[in-house]
Amino acid sequence: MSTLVEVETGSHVYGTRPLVALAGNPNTGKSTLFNRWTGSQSRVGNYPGVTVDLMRGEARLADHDVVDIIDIPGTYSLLARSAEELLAVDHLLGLSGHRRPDVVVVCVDATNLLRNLYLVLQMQELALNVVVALTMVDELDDASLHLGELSARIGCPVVPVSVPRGRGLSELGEAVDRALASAEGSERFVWEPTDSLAADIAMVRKALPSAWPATRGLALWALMSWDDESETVPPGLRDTLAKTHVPGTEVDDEVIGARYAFLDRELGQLVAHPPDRTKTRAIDRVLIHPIYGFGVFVATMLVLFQALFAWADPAIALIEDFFAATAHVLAARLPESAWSELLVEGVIGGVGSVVVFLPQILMLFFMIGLMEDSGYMARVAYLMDRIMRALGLHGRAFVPMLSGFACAIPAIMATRTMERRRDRILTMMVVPLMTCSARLPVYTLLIAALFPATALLGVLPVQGLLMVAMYGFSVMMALASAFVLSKTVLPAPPTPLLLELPPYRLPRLRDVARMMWTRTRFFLTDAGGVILVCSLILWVLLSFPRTEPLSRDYDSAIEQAATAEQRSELAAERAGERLRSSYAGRLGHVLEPIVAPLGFDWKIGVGLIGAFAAREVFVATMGVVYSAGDDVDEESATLRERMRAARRADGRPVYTPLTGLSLMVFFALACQCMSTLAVVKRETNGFRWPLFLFAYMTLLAWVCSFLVYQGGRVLGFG
Amino acid sequence: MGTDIKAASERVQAVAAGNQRSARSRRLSDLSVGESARVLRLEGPRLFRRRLMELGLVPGTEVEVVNVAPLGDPIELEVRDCRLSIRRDEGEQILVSADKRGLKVLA
Repeated sequence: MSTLVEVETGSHVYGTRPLVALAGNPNTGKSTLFNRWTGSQSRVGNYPGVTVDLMRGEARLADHDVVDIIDIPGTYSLLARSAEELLAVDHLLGLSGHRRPDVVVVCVDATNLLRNLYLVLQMQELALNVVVALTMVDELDDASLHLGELSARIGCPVVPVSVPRGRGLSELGEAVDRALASAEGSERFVWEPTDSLAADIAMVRKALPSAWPATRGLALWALMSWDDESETVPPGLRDTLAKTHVPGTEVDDEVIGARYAFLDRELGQLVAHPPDRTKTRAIDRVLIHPIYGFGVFVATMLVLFQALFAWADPAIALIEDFFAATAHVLAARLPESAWSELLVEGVIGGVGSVVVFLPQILMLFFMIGLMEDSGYMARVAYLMDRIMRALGLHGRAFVPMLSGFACAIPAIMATRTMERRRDRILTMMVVPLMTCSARLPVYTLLIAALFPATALLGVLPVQGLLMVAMYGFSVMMALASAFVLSKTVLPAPPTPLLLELPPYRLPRLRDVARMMWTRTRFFLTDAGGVILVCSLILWVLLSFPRTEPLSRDYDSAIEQAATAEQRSELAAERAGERLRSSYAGRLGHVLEPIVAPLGFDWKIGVGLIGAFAAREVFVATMGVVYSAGDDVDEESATLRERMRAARRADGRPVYTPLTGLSLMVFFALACQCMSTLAVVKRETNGFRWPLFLFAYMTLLAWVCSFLVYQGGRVLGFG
Repeated sequence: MGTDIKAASERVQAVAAGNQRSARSRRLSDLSVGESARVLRLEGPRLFRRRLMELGLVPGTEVEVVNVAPLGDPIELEVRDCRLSIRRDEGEQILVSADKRGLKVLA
């Protein structure tokens, strides 16, 4: 089961050229190297675990043939526990039908040398053909590394590189070429197992699946990777593993202890001077200081918030105006027909609803790129981990959650900054509960229409208080949902969570820009398509059928109308009648029994369907339903009056403050946003999580609105 | 050569045994910033302790607490010149020697 998205570049068929895998611990400059080699679109970051997708590309190394390159997600160890780790191992070892790479280039962070070399040792036990690319060497003293000695003792070529400066790349390419020409790597144990462990290894080795190379290294790997609780054990191997003699923890102690004993003994002396961390320490004295640290943090988050809310706004307005103008021009030129309307309202409107997200996505990823590549994002996680963890969330979930106040789409895309899939999904499940800016017009309309513009105790404005209360409510519900989901659907895995604090580095605009482009491209090509299709479906629902005769002949009435005012009134009435008889109008009637206990009538049902395109569309849909025209905004007096005047069958008003509150609660909690679902589908690579998200949020919304409305009635309101 | 190694390992064991006898062990999470100690033993479920060991926290390793987050959690460690941050409750699972000064260090 592949949970990662494979990204292929070009149309070339894999398998005909030499295959080079790129591996290493998280945050070793692996992605930068991949980008440099392939010139393509992997993500670069000063941040553990940025390579979530399995990226592929091709490159010409040194002056020789073109090779295929696969970028393996960063990992500290080859023991496979999670689905992502297993996939990485499958690709490295050539299991599960994947092609075994001819050479594995391991990026080794020279400033965290021994921990990185541990992974290299594991690979050598598994007979991989390894070349070490030693990164971050420019942060070490030139004299502090004995490269020749290092290469001899670790048993594979070691090439120092400085990827951002382009140093050492041709030497690395030549080393890979030489490795490609040489024979396969051979198993290389740097320690001897005890007799009882050796017996277990021998037993497991005989039981390995026939498609696997029956090596000692692979047997040990299987022995350590799986225990009784694992689900992915190949058939046949489970029984054998159950018969082994040495308890699992003793195997771990012996094997890991032996590997580190080797590293300490042979390589510990090779680093004369530990890396110079004085600059990073000095910056950290401010940035993770109990007072200044939080001060800088709050200031940074304010800038981020301002960027998403205010700075992206002119661009959003420009895009909206552009698409409105295009639609207008086209509508005037094209003959009047359903196809013209499809093009103007459906397609242009649909494309517009995709493109309108770009300013916030670009802005957020620009900020995130700077924070990640400088190393500050890791500090944010370090500062916030304590608070976020209490809710089951990762410290890095803070930025996506905050971004959710602007829009869930970029916020969900930003969850990629988390290494573990579980942390990412949990954050995606609660981000849509934050009060995004699309909810504001809905709240504004309802509050202005249904609540008095008076002040409580003479000073506190009721309407303003309600708005603040809705924000508070959404944050509370998001945090509570995170807590509950983390205890039930998405429990934390038992592995410890690592937060690395990488040294501060100056972000490079080229890398940030490339990442912004990668994210945007994925959004446009993948999520964008789904959003476009959904908005077309919605448009059809709201616009068809057209065949029924209307209650009066609007066309001639409009022609005969004396004033422009009358004409637009008649047009609004016609639009209202059409919508009321459309599929969406009928669906509203179907929905009515379901939403009636919440105090909603079928017209609100139609509004909810329209709002699925984007929550603020609720206002325009209600405008059409109440024949106030489709160009109303949340400040429209006509719409407010019509809503206040609306009556139920028994003569009671539809809209009371209680209905309004119930409706606002519904909007706060329901997943009324197809774009959110489209992006969750893209980010989780399946329908399971978007369906779950829609189901749980809708249920939560229904129950809470029900409690508000029915509770309010019991208490005698509305 | 062989006898050298044997003798050395006997010395290591003797020193380690002596340290264990004399030292009250304590938890890594109890160390304050700037303090260092030697890992004695790891507790907790298999996967958990294995991941910590794979990051270099094997028994016998010297570890220094170099930083504590403002809210008291997580804590940043230096092990073999490598940095890593773990959460306090994870540090509680790591038993370390009581006091580095009380430790006999091999020459």
